[in-house]
Amino acid sequence: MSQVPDTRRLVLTHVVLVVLLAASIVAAFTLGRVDLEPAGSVRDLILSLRGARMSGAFLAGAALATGGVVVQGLFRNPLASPSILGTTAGASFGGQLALVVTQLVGIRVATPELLLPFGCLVGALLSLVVLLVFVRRSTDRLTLLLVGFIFGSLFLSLGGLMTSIAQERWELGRAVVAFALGSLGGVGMRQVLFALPLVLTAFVAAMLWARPLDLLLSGEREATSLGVEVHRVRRWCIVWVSALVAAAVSLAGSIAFVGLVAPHALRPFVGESHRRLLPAAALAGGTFVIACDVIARSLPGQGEVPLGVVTGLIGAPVFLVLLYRGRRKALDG
Amino acid sequence: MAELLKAEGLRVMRGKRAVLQGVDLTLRAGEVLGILGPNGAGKSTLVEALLGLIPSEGSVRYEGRPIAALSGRERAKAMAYVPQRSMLQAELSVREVVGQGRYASGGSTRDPEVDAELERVGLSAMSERAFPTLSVGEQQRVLIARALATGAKCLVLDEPTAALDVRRALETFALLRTLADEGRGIVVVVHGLEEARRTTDHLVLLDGGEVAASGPPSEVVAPEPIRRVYGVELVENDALGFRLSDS
Repeated sequence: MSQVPDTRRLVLTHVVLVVLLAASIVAAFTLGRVDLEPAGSVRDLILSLRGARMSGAFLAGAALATGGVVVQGLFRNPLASPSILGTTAGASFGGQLALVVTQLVGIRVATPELLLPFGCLVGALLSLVVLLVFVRRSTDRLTLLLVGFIFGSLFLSLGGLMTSIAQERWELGRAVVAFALGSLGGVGMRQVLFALPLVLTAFVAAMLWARPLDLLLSGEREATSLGVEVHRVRRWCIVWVSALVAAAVSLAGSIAFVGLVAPHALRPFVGESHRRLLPAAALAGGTFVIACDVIARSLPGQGEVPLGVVTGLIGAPVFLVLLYRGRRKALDG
Repeated sequence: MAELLKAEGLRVMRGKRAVLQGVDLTLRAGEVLGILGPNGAGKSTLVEALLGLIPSEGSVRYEGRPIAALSGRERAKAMAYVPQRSMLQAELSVREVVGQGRYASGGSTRDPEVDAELERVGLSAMSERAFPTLSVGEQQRVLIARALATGAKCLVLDEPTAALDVRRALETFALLRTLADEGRGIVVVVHGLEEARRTTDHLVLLDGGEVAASGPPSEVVAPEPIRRVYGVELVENDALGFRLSDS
């Protein structure tokens, strides 16, 4: 691409994204295993449940895509995603721990449905704090990546331990495995309303930090010479990414590829500037997860196909195609 | 002329080894100060230390104020850096890259300074082109425009002509001279001896991280210092010379 996308292309891209979002919303309300009755309380209940689930799907997808854009900008690596900081695994472990502890220990709380998002948030923040403690004196990105990878693996192992412990009770074991594989099955408006301020705050913060993230694309040395306080930007971006991931995992469990595919797919249409890429990727990520959830609950079978399986089955080949096209374009000059 | 930048006893350690030691230099407004030396002499390290991009001992003052006392934004508005090559591979437009120079001032890519500097380096027609698609010479001009857009009085350039053909190199040094004539101070790392003598007002010759010679170009690019630092004999009046065509 010798020219960056012009205003016409940007407008057209956003129109297409909004149309796709509208189509996915219609599909989310109308498609499913239960046919909608012509009218009545059952129909209203189904629509209400589907509405909450669709909202949760959009928020989770938008959060992961936003997190993906921020992490890729921070690491100047389009193959980076929030999972490389270990935050996804931390949030997932926190959620699994919350499920297991409350069910096995028998803790009674007033709003049990909020324990899962709370656990995810604590898990994400824990992984963040541990990461920041370990990289406090380090200035290079490689150390951050390696420490993130190590803690990601540690939290995955701890999550595996939780899955193992949860097998003591069949229902609990099923819930923990479903959470690990990704699902929007139990999402209601309360969970959505819990996640919404997190996602909104982190998204607005990411937009406010779009300019320094643009400057960081030139490398830390150039960015510093232009007035960017690199350490401060990095630390705050990690906080926003953690909040986004915690919100997404609390809603949909562990779902892969959203943070990678959405920014990659949008770059040729909106360019690399974070101010343009962040909202477009959030729209695309949200739409992608709504569509995947519709597929997950519409496929024939005994139960729902896990959402994480669908995002992986669609996301992996799409990502490969995007990579191949990008590489071919680079080779063609 | 007014003193812009002054370094005294500058020292940079890499582990237990001093890669730069006891460097003194003074840059005045309107002056082009060249940094010269063989490979590994510490030229780029000196540039980074002057800009405060790496930890150093000794003192670096900008208009009398220690640069360590300046915030990141204040420093960016005082001293602008032009790297040899930018690390930027993302497809930001030329305008967006030049607009990065307005960050420290709280400005944007729509600031008139961005248009003015694009015009100055002759890239107005390419303002919407993606930066990585430009030639090396064009990218260099974008980086200079970005540095100028900061409004800094002091420009620090690390081998700006290393990858340029003879015409582009001459044009770059002509631009640096114009900028100095407008009252800016220019610190430029130069590789070629002939180029160093012809284009600078003051030269600092580094060798092994220390100042081997400092003074007017004719005294630094002279037989004795060149023999001592490079181990070669300087042959006067036997070199090719170039200048920009009048047309």
